Amino acid sequence: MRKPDSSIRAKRIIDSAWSYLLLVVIAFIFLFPCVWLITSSFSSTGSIYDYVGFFPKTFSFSTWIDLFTKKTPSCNYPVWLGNTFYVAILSCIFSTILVILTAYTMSRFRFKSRKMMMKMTLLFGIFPTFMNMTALFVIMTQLHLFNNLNGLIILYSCSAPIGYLTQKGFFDTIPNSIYDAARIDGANNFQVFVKMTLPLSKAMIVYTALTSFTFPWSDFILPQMLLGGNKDNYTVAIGLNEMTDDMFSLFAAGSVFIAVPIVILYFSLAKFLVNGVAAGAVKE
Amino acid sequence: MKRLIAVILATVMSATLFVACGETESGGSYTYEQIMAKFEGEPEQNVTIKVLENDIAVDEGYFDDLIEAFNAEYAEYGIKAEDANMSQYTDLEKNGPLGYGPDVLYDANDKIMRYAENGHVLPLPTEKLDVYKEGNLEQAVSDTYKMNKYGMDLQFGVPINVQTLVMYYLEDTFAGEADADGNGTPDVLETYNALYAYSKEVRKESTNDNPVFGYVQSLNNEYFNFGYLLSYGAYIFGETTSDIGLAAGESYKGLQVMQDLASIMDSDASDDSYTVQAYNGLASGKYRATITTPDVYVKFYNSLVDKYVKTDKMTQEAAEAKAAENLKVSDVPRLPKSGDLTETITDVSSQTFATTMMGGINGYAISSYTKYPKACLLFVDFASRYEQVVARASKLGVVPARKDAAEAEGTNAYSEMVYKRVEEGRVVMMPSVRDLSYVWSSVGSMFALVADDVTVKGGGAPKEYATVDSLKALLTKAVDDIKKVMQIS
Amino acid sequence: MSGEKLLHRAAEPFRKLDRFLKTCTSSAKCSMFLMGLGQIRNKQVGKGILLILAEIAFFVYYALIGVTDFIGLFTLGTKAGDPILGITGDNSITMLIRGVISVVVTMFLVFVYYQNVRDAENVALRRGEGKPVNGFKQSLGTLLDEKFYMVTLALPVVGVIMFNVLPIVFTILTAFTNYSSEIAPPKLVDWIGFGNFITLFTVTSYISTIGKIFYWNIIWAVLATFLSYFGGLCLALLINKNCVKGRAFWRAFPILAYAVPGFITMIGFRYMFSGMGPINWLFVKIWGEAARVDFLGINSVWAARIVCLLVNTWVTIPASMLLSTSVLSNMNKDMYEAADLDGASSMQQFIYLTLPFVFFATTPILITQFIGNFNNFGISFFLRGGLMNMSEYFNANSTDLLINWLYNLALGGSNNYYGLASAVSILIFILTGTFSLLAYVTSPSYKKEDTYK
Repeated sequence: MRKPDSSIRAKRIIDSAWSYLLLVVIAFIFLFPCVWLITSSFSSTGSIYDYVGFFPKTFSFSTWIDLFTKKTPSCNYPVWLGNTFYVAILSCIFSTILVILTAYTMSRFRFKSRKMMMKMTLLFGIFPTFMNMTALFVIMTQLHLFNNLNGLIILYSCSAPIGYLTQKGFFDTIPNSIYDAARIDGANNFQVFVKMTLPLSKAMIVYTALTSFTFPWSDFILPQMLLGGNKDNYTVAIGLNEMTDDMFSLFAAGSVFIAVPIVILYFSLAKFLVNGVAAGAVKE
Repeated sequence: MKRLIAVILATVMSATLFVACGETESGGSYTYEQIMAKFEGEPEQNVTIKVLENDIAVDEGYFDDLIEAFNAEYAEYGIKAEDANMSQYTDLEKNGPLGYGPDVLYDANDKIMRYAENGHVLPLPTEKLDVYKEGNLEQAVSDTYKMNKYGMDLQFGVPINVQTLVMYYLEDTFAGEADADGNGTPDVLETYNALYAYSKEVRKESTNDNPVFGYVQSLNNEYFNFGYLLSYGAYIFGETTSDIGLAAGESYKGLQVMQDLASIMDSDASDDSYTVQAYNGLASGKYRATITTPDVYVKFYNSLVDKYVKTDKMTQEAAEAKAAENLKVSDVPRLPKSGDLTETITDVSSQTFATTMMGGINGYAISSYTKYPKACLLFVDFASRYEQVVARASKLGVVPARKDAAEAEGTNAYSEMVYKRVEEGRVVMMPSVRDLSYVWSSVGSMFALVADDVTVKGGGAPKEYATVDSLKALLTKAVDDIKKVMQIS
Repeated sequence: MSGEKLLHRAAEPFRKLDRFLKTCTSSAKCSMFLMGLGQIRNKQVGKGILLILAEIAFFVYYALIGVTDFIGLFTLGTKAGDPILGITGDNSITMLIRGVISVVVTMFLVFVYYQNVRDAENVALRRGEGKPVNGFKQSLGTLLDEKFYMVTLALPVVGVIMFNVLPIVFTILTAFTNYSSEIAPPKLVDWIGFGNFITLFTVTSYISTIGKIFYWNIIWAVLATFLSYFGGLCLALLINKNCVKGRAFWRAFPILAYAVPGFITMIGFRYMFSGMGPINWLFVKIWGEAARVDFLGINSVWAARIVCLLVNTWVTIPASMLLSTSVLSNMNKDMYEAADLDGASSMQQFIYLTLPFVFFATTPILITQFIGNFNNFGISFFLRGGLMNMSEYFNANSTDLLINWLYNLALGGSNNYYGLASAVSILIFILTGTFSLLAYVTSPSYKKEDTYK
């Protein structure tokens, strides 16, 4: 091969310089709002209107102390946090089980109403769910699940299977030959699922669990509708949304704190995330 | 599924033909005694009633004192009141019929009477309530809870405090200003013209890093600003709700006043920013004066104490004493007859007139869905007695709705002033009809448009609504819009 | 002629039924008479008893509440209550829901009945031929094997019907009632046919509102999808460039943005772009007072729309970048080497190699992204805070999409128009449903589902 001459080398250097410059700018654009939120949580006056430009005039830890120690009608953070954890973890467990089972079934089995069900779920998936709020409100009161964290968990878990398509796409990629081998050994479909499918789909399960944890963790509309009747049942999202502008640093602190677990999860599971996002869609 | 839906819809359509003519109103007439039968007899024993209080009253500890006193008073019956612990904005209309919601609720008269219209709150036996005894309430006050139902006038709530607009400022900020009439309020706060000129001066000191304002208020808020239209001859409803008087009289002058006010503020005026930041802003000196309702007095006070402790390093006691001394509440400034704030006033009494503002009455009502109406009645009676109302006024800074409490020693200094305004008819109470909400939402966005028109691009002069005709057209259009919306509903 | 044909075709199922009745076994006839009877006759006693119990349960349901609920669906209540006097009347809204439930139960009954007759017939035929028949235990065993799907789908199907299908049916039905905050229990709600749709397309303020919102909704969906899709692709390509070192590091920043819950970033951005917020502070600092922009104010139209687009791009690029990254990693490197040898510039490589490949691989995701953006509720809701410009719109503002308008009508503000909002949601449903069903059915992933098998 020819050795690259100096003009090509210069071109490359300029090219990589541009690339890095662009990357730095992009990194800044993504990082800045997060940093801004973090510094806001250390504002000593608590209100966003005392800032000079982007940052507070004076800093202190008082907001963070208030966040975890003060209990007022408008702020009861430790309780909110506990509720959010409870709802998100249980919803995550149930949703994951239901979604994986549904996706596996839809991918592996051929039965009469299958195509019809697939089209129906697709249709239901795109129905604007806001109007369902009114109906859900009435249904939940009829089932005595209103003002009840468990009601919310049931709701999240039961609606999760609608979004099984990504996972189904993944199961579609597992070749039938693997199953056939197991079937010849006399295993029934249940055993095949437990012994063959589950170990193969670890990445998909992690991805499903991650997404079904983060949704209830940061959802706002549904909890507000169904838990508004009792402040002891508030989740962080409702509480933060009810905070007024003069409590901005409290909002910022509360937000930063609930973002932390998600950020940690995302970074430690980044590999699964990349695979998961692609699995449902990527087809050649 | 699709086919099924089609079948259901088809059936439903045909079914409509049969049911559409069904009678929906329950007929028959009732006597006063029949309606009040729920409140007859011994109170329920060993019951707990849930009370939905206003957040400030809970935050400041007044509510705890109230229920403690109540529970002690009725310990023999075992009646207990407790915090309903719900969102302040819980809608009884939605929750009540499904079996949720508080037993007793505290709210503004428009909200309570909205509930009353559809029967969600109970009419009260006024003869059993201390607050309704002869002479305790101004007619304008008790009328806000009155509605004609079952062919008679009934009262649906107990008035607790009067809401209208008052001016907040710090005494030391205006220490150097003249007070020619010696009434304790500096002259610059007595007319809007003087306030306008003062604010213009203050704005000159203002920088991008350190903005200062002589006067701020949210100009988008229908309740805060409707008074400007009222003062120049507008009204909300005439004889019926189809008569909407937004454009009546010289109400366009009210909009001109708002335009002048907008020019001394900035684009925060067209949303709620000023209202929520007023407490901090007044304390930090960023805002010199503002108008808002009396029930947030304690929020100004707390911000001020906080500032004295944190910034000025005072002790808690010294800060509290200084804040109480320094925080002043006065009447809203007078308006110029010309509607032009830029003109210089030489003779206050001939060139200006006293401003009329919107007002309302906050109070308690009893949910129709409560299982313990008698215990609830005991609670609302207890909470509206002289001692409790005075305690509430002194602790929270609200203006009592009871005449005797407003004039009592130990209430705050401005209650009498506000009450006098009510007596003089300078406070127009929010109409207790449901249709008000249609007016409110349209008027709110009209005000925001007018303010935004001035403040955008560095303030200055109105652009789109610069002429009297354009303002009149805007008002007429708002009336038409409201009527259209009311037709739909 | 064709009318006759149509009639003939319509009568076909009845002829089939008639033929079946004439020829079927007596077991099937028994099962037709009473569920499970035929099974007992077929010596499948366990199954038979279960079916009989099921039938009893159905009848108990109908006797106790089913029939009343079903009738309630049509009347929506006949007696208005008066809570003040303690008169409990009919609650139209709960009646509507219970009525729908009774319809679902009836459909289930029909399904079970049909299966029951079919089963009795099949088993009887097998017995007639002398073939072996499954006992009760064996029947249960099939649930773990060839009928395993019944077990796994039972719970999801019930859940989805209860919390998704039922509310959707409720919503669709509400569109044909006069349900609003003015007419709500204890008042009686009534069926009004297509009244809400007529209002939507006739009353002037609605026509202009729906037109303006729809116009922006389409522009928004196209632009937002385009920006996030190509933004993500370009970012992925940039990070994947050969000259870039430390890919995990550069990728961390978008992932950080991805991880922060959406409503938090959006509320944060609202403060940033507010009239006296930091962005305006910066503008004024650099260019003076005249540079102040009213980004999100009530009068703002295009400034607000651009801010919404930018914020949405910020929020959605990370996910789109992750997707592109993983698609790119599947790409055949040889193609590029070949292209390099042929002297193709990097731009040409992007247009003729990368783009077609990525585009083809992600069509289904693109569809979901488009629908997602079409119904992107959060951006306008959090950035504009439910602002309503009543003199230009009816209960909406310049950045609101149909979904925001629907929310404002149904839940925002002090007056709720449930019926109208439901009509709007049916409209959205028809629009997005048609689009995505067409796109999905023609997509490779639906057609070539079994490629890997």
